Amino acid sequence: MGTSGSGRLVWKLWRETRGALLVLAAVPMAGLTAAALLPRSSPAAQFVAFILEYVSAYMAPAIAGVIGATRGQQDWDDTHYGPSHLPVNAGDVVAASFALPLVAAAALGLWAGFWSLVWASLMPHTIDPLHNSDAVRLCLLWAVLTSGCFALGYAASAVSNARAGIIAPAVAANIGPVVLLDAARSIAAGSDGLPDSPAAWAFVAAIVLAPMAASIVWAASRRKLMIWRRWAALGAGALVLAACASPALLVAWTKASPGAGFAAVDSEDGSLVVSMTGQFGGRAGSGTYCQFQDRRSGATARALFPLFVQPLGFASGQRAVVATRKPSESRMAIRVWSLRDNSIREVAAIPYNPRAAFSLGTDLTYRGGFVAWVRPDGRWMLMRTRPSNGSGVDLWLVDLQHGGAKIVYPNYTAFGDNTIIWTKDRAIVSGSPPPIVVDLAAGTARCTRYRWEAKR
Amino acid sequence: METDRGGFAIETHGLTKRFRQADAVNGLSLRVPAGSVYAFLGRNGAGKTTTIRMLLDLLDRTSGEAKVLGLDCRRDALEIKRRVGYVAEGCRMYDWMTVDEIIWFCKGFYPGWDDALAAELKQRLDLDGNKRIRELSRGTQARLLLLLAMAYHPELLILDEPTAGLDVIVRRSFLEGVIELLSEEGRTVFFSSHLVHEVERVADWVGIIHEGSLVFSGPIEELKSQVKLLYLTYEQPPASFAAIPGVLSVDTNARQAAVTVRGFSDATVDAAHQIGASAVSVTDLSLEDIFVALVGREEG
Repeated sequence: MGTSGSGRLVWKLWRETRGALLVLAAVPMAGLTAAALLPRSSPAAQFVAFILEYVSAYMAPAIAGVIGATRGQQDWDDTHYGPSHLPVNAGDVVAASFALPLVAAAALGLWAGFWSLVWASLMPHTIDPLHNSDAVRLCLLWAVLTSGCFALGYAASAVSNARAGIIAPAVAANIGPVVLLDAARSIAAGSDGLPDSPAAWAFVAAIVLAPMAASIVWAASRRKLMIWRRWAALGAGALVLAACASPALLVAWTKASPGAGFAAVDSEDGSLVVSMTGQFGGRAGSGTYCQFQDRRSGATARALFPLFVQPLGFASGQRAVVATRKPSESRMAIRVWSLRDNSIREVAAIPYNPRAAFSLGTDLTYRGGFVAWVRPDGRWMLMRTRPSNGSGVDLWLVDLQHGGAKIVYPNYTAFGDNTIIWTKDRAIVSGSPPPIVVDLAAGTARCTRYRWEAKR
Repeated sequence: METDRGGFAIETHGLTKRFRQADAVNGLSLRVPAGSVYAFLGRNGAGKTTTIRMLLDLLDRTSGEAKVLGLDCRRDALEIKRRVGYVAEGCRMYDWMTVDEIIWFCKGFYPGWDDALAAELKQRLDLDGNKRIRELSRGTQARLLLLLAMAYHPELLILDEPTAGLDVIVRRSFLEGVIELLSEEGRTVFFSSHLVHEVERVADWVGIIHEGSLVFSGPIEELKSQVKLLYLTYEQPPASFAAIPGVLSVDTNARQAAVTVRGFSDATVDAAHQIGASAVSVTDLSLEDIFVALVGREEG
């Protein structure tokens, strides 16, 4: 214990926050580990695991926010003994009551981030995320989240009141873990989702910029705040938070996790739709529930697919073509799902290539479906995937009627979206040079400019 | 820097605080002599706490000047806090600390902290060092605040409604404790209250604030000598009492009238006779009666 006022402020800080810090450190470690080891053999178990995961991850930023709100009130609300009585320099207050807890919150954020990666690595069918370079960035995101929640709570309670100081970071604490757990799972699945994840980074911007905006308005006003100034500062923070967090939320909610889920996919005329209704995963098995609906007739079918599933297109006769893969398999199956009799038939398989497999869902999400083309009669399908080797894309021809798939044009240099013209026995791929003519029966492709042919 | 005995511990000129459209304190010019026990009286919402908070830089003033111990309230706020003891009603202490812990904690902020005095005060104020603050009664918490405010020999002690919310026994004990301690040290005490009858026993100067403006400021004896109650007896009720200077209130019946006046002198009695009073008896008023006459007049 120090003998100066600053030393005693640090002593007071430690005594007031040690319990919360202990909880903050223990809960992510224990909760996430337990959640990862929990069997998920049923949707109910999956739900329990989710609650456990969420609460465990939520605790770190939430408690950091509450600590921030408490500190902000004690330091700046002059109905408390310290601000109204003690001759303390503002610098000492900031150091002992803001800077130190901020660093502590960041450190505990790193700790929570580490345990989120451990959690992700304990999940089935994952690679070790701790050896992924994104792991460091994920931990840093956690650190920013917890310290940001602390800062947000501090600023909001200082400029307004304790209630606002708790509500503001509570919002951030609710959003943050969802984004970051998703990012951890992506890393564990081998995806490079984190650095490209606008949700994560927009969220980081939100929690950093919001307290900053509030602080600027606060500092721009005079030292003793009138009510409207406090609300102006709080409003500025809330505005920035909303401006940054809204797109993040939108992306987080609508973006499909690579290989693990997808947004609803509609047929070109909008009459048919395949959507995901649920997922479960665990040591006992995993799967994705999908629904196939004809909007005109109202006919609906539901089926359980392997965990990784992606609709590719539709054909006449209320049929959908989907790509599926079990997490442990080294092949990706192409299946035809018929709504009429709710039958699912595997027609082809292509070798599993992580690069190709993950890009399939991502490309479909971001390229509006210009990845696979099903001939309207459901006889043939052309699809492009990222190649195992080399650049460009591999163009696959899939025989949906008799089964089988082959690469008809490897390393095709596609600069943009392709369009397909189907004839009785040919498909013409155009829209980006060079145009290709695919002989469906022969399973060959010819570049109209270079007369290139390939046979597998 | 010791306050000049002949000077003022608190001095304000035109001190004003405006909240939205209302003046909480309106052009207050106050002088609290060093070494006095100054009671700052007013009804709830009169502007007492607002004034004190401006003096301690807990609230920005809208206009005017304020000095405490010769220091500017805004510029020298930190130094003022080092040299002024402050006890405020409803102040939230760190209730997880024990009495000994908060004494140790506060000690670090005051260079002039006197351990021996703190120990003595703890004993005299009957404080148990091992008890947590949350376990203390309100009266005991008020005594603890007093200890914390006095253990560093403040040149000025500001008490803002220190006994509000306490029962009458605790209030008396607290105030007597304050006066006993301060009479030994000879410090200036500035305390606000709306419990006028209790102030009379301990204060030697008084300031009365009403709706943000100072109604009176001076020694209590001067106030008492200025404000008197006159009982007038007459055959015929006078048409008006306006001829008597400084009338604050009049209560009449067919033969008698009770007239409270301010600025009492022999001329006041003469004026009473001139309006037809056959007999005039002059009575002293208690501070509470004077307060009601001065402040209640505004209400009337």
